[in-house]
Amino acid sequence: MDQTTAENSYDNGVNRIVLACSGASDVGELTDRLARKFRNNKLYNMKCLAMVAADKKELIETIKKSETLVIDGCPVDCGKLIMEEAWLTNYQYVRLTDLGYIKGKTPVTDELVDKVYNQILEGDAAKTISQQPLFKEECCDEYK
Amino acid sequence: METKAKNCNCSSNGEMIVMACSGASDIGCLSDQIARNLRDKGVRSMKCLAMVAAENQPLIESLKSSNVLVIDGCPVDCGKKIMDKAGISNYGYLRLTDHGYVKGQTPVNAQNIESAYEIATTYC
Repeated sequence: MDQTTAENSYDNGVNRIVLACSGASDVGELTDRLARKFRNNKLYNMKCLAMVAADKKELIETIKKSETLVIDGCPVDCGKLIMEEAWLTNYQYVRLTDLGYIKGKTPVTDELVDKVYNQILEGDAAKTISQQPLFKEECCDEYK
Repeated sequence: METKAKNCNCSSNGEMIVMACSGASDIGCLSDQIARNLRDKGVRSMKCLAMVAAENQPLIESLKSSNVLVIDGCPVDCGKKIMDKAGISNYGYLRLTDHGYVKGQTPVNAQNIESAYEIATTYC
């Protein structure tokens, strides 16, 4: 199991953050396992997607200054929608169903976690959905 | 130890649902594990908290007539905030730090999963 109590930090001058939808389905569980594995291997800081959804300003501001990877399990795209709601547009995005993993037919095993983890690391999975500048503050009054 | 949900909707005949904050910390991970265990043991169906946060109206409406347990790891209360924002008020609520689990000092091991799971099953 990729579980730890360790407080994590990865500092090479750029903060890298990973967020997972951690949904109820198998592919949702897989996102959760992947994010914790990235954290445990010190490649990313894992942060709480729920905290972005809960409109935690401090975290949202940190994410704006970080290289962020969002992992969604399925095309409901909850992670992406939560990022949009928080006016966060500049992040890497992986949707596991795009990699061929079928919701409801993807038993979560350690082997599968390792396989998908490597797929993402090898870069053929991560795609930039936007490199646009972040919205200016005045655009986002309702979210303050 | 008080384990009864403050907003327990015992009279609800709706579907038994659980959602977890699934946060990054150890107790966030614990919330996730408990929810999946409740699901795997047939106690509750697990739904995506992120889908509530993403304002999925069909899910939000179905939750209003369900017997829902929300599990937050810590007092940041993200799950609770997401439910509030979605206008869902009638649900059982378990915050793991209220039961002695300390953020950053709670190994996600079989013992803690089992003890926290037992607490979760006391919610009606």
